[in-house]
Formats: sequence, structure tokens, C-alpha cells
Amino acid sequence: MEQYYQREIETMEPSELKKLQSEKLKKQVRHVYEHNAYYRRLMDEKGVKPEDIQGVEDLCKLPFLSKQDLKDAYPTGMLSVPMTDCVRIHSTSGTTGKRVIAFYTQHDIDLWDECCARAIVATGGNEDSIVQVCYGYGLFTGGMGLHGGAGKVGALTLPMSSGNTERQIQFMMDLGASILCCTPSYAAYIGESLKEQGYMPEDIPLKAGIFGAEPWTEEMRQDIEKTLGIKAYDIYGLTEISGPGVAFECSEQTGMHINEDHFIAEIINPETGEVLPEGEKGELVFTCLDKEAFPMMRYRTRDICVLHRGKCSCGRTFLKMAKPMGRSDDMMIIRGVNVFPSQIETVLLKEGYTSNYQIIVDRVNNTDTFDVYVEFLPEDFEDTMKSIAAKEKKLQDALKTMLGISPKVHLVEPKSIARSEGKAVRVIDRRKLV
Amino acid sequence: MAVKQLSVLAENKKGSLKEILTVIAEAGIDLRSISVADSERYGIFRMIVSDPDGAVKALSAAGFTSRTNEVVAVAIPDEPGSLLHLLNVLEKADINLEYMYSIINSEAGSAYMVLRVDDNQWTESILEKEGVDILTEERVKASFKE
Ligand SMILES: [Zn+2]
Repeated sequence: MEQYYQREIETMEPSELKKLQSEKLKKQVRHVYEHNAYYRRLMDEKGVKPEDIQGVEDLCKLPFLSKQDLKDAYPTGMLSVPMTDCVRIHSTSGTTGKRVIAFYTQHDIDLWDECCARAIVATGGNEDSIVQVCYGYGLFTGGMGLHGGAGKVGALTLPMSSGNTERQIQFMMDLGASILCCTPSYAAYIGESLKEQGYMPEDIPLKAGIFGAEPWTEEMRQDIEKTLGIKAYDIYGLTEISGPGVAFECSEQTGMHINEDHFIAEIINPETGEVLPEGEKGELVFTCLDKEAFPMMRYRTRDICVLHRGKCSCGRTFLKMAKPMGRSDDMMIIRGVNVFPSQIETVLLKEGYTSNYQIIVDRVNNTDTFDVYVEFLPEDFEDTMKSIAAKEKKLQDALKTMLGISPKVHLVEPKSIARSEGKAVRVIDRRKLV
Repeated sequence: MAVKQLSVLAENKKGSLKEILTVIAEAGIDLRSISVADSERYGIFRMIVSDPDGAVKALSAAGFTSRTNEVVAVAIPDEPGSLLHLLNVLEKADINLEYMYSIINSEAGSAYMVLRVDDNQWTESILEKEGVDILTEERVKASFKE
């Protein structure tokens, strides 16, 4: 029996949902136009007035916001309420350039927590659950988000934060944690540690896991489900929009329901900005319908994915998003197929290689050549040519399954791939030089 | 019974064999045999040396990828047709020979051969039945003491 945190919203008739979104959008555009000088300028430049937005069908008239806009507006240019009305900030990890600082009013925190509560209840969580949160707490949204969600549900929360696996396992076993929230790689690590300590899946009290914040594959899901004896659910979110819980998976496990009463999702062509019809692959764009402090309008996530609306066996009517395939700025088109370095990385790690690789794309006689150089591990070296060729073939087949096209795989000596400033150059596209 | 062999991976660039041999020589390790397999991108050097494990240590410190593994070594009579006979024995037993090479030895009247097969034990048992003289690590080592 499917459970909902807010049945009337999560199973709302699509026509009702659209009406609700339209009302909220109209109000939100006015709020942002009046309180955010940065976005007002963008709207003025485009010649759009708040009264031009009468419903969701007018959304496409609004200007986009990009990561660059957030950098330009750093630190408070995107704030749309007085800072004194805010109760918390979170921040992106900011591997490149400035971090993004996201602000929240109590209302914003409440709606975010509700989104996470929906995700927890969708995995079977309730007030009797014991939710072990081992996402990091602090500026990162993972820990506080799921923590807030578990609080709304009324579950017992174990605010473990990340790391100290020994203690994680001790608390999990001693208290009988039922839902584990962490990154999929940490879940896999916990699973391995439990196995090493001799625990069988049936000894582990967990029933479900909510895993996100990094890319993972279907194979990883099955591995984690097997070692922990649980059902593993995906969750999606980003600090700019709120945090985890923007979208969450239901028992069907075929994509994540987007919390559409709070966020409108669009898919656009990353090059032209044109809105693409449902079912097409493109860049995911979010508009916050009722956030106060940091209301992103048509924010370009750079995540490439596909949206599907349709009846879900769980009864929810919210649009579903597929797992993002990669970042739009990393996307390559090789022989007409979209390829993301992240997909290649996923395969390499799954096949037991390090992520030291290099992709070389070139064009010979009007055909794209696609070569992947991978450093093999010293301990994998064998004395026969045959063994190297077999390893290359196996990796090539795995990459073909993931990408849809077959690269030529070259295993090369450890540490032989050129690095600049300590970081390997991942992609060399020689076609661009022509 | 099998004998330890050293294999070194080397990219096909000028000088890499010389560099590898320098590392081995500087570690005071003696070389009895070398065979080279190469493709367009890299080569694999297989060697019989006086101290295979010491060689791996020295090579890894110098940034080379290497390993040791066991291979079958035999002594065959230094006369026409003896290698052919050995190959026939392997073929009859359906043993796939990955590669082979010879070892410089000072035993008069015989030639030492290294055979790379999938199953050393099985191969040695077949060869033994056929009366082939199978070398031990000690006998190969002894050839270094000259
Ligand atoms: Zn569903």
C-alpha cells in the first residue's frame, strides 16, 4: 500500500496542479520583480512585465538564470527578502569559482523539509521509523535537508553526518535504524564494511535507503540493495533550488517525481534555449513557485535529462525526471550521439579502473574517431598481449552499453596520461581545431 | 616446479628497453634471457633474471610497471627436431602455448626453453609423462652462478 506525506497534493489531478502552478507563478513573478533588482533588470531587458505572466504557458517569456548570474550576483544579489527575514544559509561546494550562497526564510525551510518528508514517506517511512542521516551536516544541504524531512515525518533522527563508519554501523545495529540517507558510494562502503564484519543482509535492520548528491548507476543500486537487504531510492536536488527533495523516487523506481507544487521543470535545448517537448533529452530548468528568499526563476541546472508525465503505479501525478546523464557543458556529440565524460567515469569505476582517462575525439574522412585512453592498475598488468586485449575489449563493450556507441579503448601505463596542474586533461576534441 | 619470470611493461618509445636494463643492472641483478612482445603502442619484456622480486621492487621505484609470474621451463636436447617434438607433445595434449623463448645456459648439449601456458601444473605433468626434462628454479638459478 503506497503511502504519501501529503496525499491530496501528491496525487492532484493534472489540471488542478496546472491551475495551482499558474496562480503561484503569477504571484511569484510579482514578488521577484518587486524585490530582486538583478532579475528585474533581466526582465526589463527582455521587455517582460509581471502582468505578461498569466499562467504556466507564459513561463517561456521569462529570462533564464545561469550559474554565471549567480556568480555575478554574489553574495546577496539574488536575495529577494531583507536578510534579517532569513533564518539560514546553505552553500554549494564550489569546486570552480565562487560558491553560491542560498538564503532561506522559515517558510522556505518548511517547504524544503516537506519535500524531503515526501521522499521519506515514499520509501515507507513513518513516525516509527529510525532515520540515519549520514550526509554531511553544515553548509551542504544533504544532512540538514533529510534531517528536516525526518523531523516533519516524526521519525527518530540519527544526525550522524558523514564519516566514522565504525560508529555509523554501531548506531545502526544497536538502535535498529530503518532508513539510511547518504551518498550511494558511502552506502556501498557501509555495505562492504558490514559484510566484512560478517553481517548478512538479513541481520541488517535497514529497510530502505535514500541516496543522492552524486551520479550512480542501476548496477550500483542493485549491489547496494543486495548487500544491505534494502530498497534503494534515488533523490535529486540542488542548493540553488533548495536542496535534496526537489525530486524523489517512489516504489516504482523508474524516475523521480518532481515536487511540482513548488518547482516547475522545463527541458530546453542547451544551445538555443528553446523549450523541448516532453520526452526529449535536454537541459533541466527549474522555476521556484513559492520560495521567498532565494527564488530561482528558470534556473539552468546544466543537468541533462528527460522528463516524463504519465500515470505512475504509485498514484502520484507529479512529472518524473530520469536520472541526469551529465552536465550540459561537458556534453560532446560523437557520431551524432550525446556523450558525457561522467558516463565514461561511471563505467571505469564500475569496471575497477581509476578515473585516470583521456578521451580523444577527432575527425578522419568525415567520420568521428573516438578513442578512450585508460590507465590500468599496476596489479592488473599481465605478461601476455592477449590479456591486455581482452581487458580492452571488456571495457569497450561496457562503454558501448552505456553510451550507445563504441569507443576504441587503449589501456596505457599507469601515470602515463598527461596531467596539467596535477589534473588530467579529460577531453581532447581535435575536431574543434579544424 | 615452475620458474619465476619477470615481465615489464614499456611504452614503445625510444630508450625504454635501455632504461629498464639500466635499472636492473644498477640493482645488481643478472639477466639470463629476454623476449620482447610488442604492439603498436607498448611492449612487454619478459625476462629470466637472478632476482625477479628485487627487479620488480627496483623497477617500480623507477616508475615502471612490472610483475612476476610462474612459467614452465624445460631443457631439451641440443639436436635437430627436439623443439618440434616438444611442440607436438603440447599440441597432442591440447595445450595452448601463449609464447616461448630460450634461456642462455651453459649446460652443454641442451637448450633451455621457457613455455607460457595457462596451466603450469597440468602442462608439467604431461611433459613429465613424455620424458621431457623439466627445470626447477634451482637449476635455472645455478646457471647464473657461472
Ligand atoms: Zn511514482
